Amino acid sequence: MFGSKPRRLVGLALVLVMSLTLLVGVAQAQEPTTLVIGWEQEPPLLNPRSDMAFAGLMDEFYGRGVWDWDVNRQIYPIMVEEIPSPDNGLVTTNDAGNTVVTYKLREGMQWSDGEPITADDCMFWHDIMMDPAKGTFQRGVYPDVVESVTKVDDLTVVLAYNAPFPDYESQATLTCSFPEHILGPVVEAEGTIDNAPYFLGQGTVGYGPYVLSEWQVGSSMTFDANPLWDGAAPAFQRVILRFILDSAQMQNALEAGEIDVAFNFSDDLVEGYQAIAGSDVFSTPGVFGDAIWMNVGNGGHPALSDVNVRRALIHAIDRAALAEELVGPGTEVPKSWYAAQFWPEDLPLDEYDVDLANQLLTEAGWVDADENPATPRVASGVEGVTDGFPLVLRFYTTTRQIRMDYQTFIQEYLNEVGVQTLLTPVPANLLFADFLENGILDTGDFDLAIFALSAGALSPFANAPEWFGCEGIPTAEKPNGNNGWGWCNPEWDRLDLEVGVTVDPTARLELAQEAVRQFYSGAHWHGLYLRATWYAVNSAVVNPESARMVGTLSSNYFNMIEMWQPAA
Amino acid sequence: MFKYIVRRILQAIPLVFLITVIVFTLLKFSGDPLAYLAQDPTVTEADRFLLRAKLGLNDPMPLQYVHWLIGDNWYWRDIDGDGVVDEPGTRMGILRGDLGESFRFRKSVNDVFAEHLPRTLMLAGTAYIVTVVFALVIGVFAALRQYTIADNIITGFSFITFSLPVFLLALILVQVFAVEARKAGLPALPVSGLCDPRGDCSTDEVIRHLILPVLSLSLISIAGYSRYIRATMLEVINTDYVRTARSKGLSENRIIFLHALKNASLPLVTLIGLDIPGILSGAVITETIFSWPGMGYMFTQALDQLDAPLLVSFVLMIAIAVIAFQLLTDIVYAWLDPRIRYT
Repeated sequence: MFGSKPRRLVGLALVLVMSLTLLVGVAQAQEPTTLVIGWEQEPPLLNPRSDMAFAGLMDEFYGRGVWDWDVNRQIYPIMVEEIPSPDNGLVTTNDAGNTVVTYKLREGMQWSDGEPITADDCMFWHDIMMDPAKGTFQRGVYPDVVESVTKVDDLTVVLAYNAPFPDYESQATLTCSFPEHILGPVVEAEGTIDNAPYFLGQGTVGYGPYVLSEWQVGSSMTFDANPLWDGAAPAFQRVILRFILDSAQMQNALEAGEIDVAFNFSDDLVEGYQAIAGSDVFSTPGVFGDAIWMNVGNGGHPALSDVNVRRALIHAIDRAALAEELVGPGTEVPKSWYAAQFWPEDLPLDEYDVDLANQLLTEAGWVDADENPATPRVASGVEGVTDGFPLVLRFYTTTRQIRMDYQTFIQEYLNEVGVQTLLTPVPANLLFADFLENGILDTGDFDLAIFALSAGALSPFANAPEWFGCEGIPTAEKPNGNNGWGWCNPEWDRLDLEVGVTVDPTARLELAQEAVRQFYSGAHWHGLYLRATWYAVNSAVVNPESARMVGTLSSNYFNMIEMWQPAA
Repeated sequence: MFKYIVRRILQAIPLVFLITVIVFTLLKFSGDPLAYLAQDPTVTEADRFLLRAKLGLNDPMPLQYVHWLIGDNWYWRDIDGDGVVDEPGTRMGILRGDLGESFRFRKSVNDVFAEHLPRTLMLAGTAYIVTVVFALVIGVFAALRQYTIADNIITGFSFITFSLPVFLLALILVQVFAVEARKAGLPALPVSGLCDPRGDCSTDEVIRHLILPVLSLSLISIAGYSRYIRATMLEVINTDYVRTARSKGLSENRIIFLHALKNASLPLVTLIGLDIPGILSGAVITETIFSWPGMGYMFTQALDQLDAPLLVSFVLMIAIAVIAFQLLTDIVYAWLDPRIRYT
């Protein structure tokens, strides 16, 4: 049937396939004590305080802190003998009424190069934190709230705040995780740690279950068990972080057995991971939650200055159904921006109620004049607004898929009550740019927006006057604020300051609950869902039960990695 | 010829700078490179100011461009926001061989390029060699067998392959040769990466990791190039001088590979001259999908963070490469066809 030429072509194709097969070789057998974790973003530096979140996650392997929180958000000591508290006398108040915390380091701790860990390491990093010239990284509130740090002896350090400071466990904490004997000479020579080879993986020593043994830039990072670690010995002798940028390829890599763990993938990929044979998929409650933010007082649509209109809009949206449909079964709609443990019991959730939404809009003077659902409601007798002004809102979000999906569904819901929206997904760097960079949020050039802004998971103190305070509304004179939605409630400002300095836990909780109520009364923030942190592990390599020993804060995915066990 | 080359180089200089000005300006209007910090309330204004100051982002835009050109080691800045200048910058500027410091990678752009360019040359260079060799073979083969079954099959495959977007082709190849092959217990190719981190990153391991990205890049290009070569070969083998060569009794191989192919490859030289600068830029999609840490992979990450020093240097490098290879193409043209003269 075929002549000699097509036969030659088929022959050529066969030779090619055979050559490929020879090159491929047999798939490598996997070492039982090696764990490969897919890592979606390679940090430029190992400095956990750099602005790259995925650097912050790596210190769980090689550089633990003074303490951490377990899967139940219970604090436990690591470098210190015990967690300081008023009960054990390690948290006191000085004559000025300010909080003083004593850190007692455990005896016998060693860096991975064998040098002892002492109070000098803590003093060294305090010095770096207090002097911006000695390093470019995020310092948080530390330089603003810490008065002094004093070395008492080789294993005892006392940190004094410049005010009552109830959040000493979670904020502005003493850091002893950087070796003075390595980084000190760098600062002496160069005046800064910015260019220290330590942060590029050269001579990196730390205090953790693993030690960095190789960093193939652009490819992978290898950690080997640290023989000098005095905590639980890790069951996996080697952990490899493999950098894979593409989310589809991350899934393929798990399916092909090239990685054993994928994590932090988005909700829309969960089903795909669950479909992989042998994978065990689980999640922990997240700390980031997407929400609708309404521009209530910074140049937004005039209708949004009325709290009843804002309330009406949210009653028009079935957030529970959207969470169920777009995120996943069982996803809850958060009632408040604050972490749940600070919510008062009577905090309401604005339920889906179209009739109420229509009623509120009409009562507020936004009427369906032509009784045509295809046209927007218009103003009728609204103070300061010309009659006939349409209720059309500019609706922004980033290009993250789930947010754009939400945007589209919300548009449909709002159409039902005669509110029209102009959907504009934009890159994050345009939405969140500074006021001076013409950022959409900061300049108030929006009416509605969907995005996430994390609240502290451990503290009720927002400590963000530039985000929510009256002083934080950005203007040409004060361009540094981030309160682009223009919500101003002096009572909330006062309460938040009180929460920040109230040490007594009971009194603090009461103040916090009142602050939560005030926040709710603004109706400028409406939660959509809390983004869960997803993990998928290859159950042929990892014991899935042991892998559930993970953290639930924003940067401690692997804080129990030494407890992970190989599959039976 | 020498005068021509010098004139072309002199003409290129303002063009290159114009390109950098345009790219720099566009990037500056694309948003705030540190905007991603805005979602983190623990990042204080002091932190942001410090970071912006160190990266020179608080300087006026024209000044940022000037610093990129001639450096900022003469320019004192207020680093801590107290209104008093603290220290000068550390950059030498592109005119002194310093491409600046990357925001994303936190190291000099020169170092970033030095890390990523060799990997791109390995991937894209291999893919290009594979493309040219296979396209030549297939193109000539198809031309010599015009309208036969083999030609029709090649034409059909070319159209199908050429119609596939590279990301789709890449994911299909991964699914078949990495995922499904492994499931079926067959020898499988790696999904992504430069080498297996469990292994020793030996040469044969790198070659295994090269296969799928090279195939993704080459298959589509082979389809296009081979059609091009087939067309030009068909044109040449029907010309008078080829008939004359045949009538003089020259062997068919000599006619095809020495006389016809040389003339048929003239337009191909233009094509190659235009495509080679693209090799330096890396295959953005392919490198990202396969986590191949080359220039394309680097570009994706830099773009994500509006890393102006790196992106502008990248464009500058490509612009210079385009101009250089255009010039080289002209020279090769003159060598291949002695009738061509430049003045």
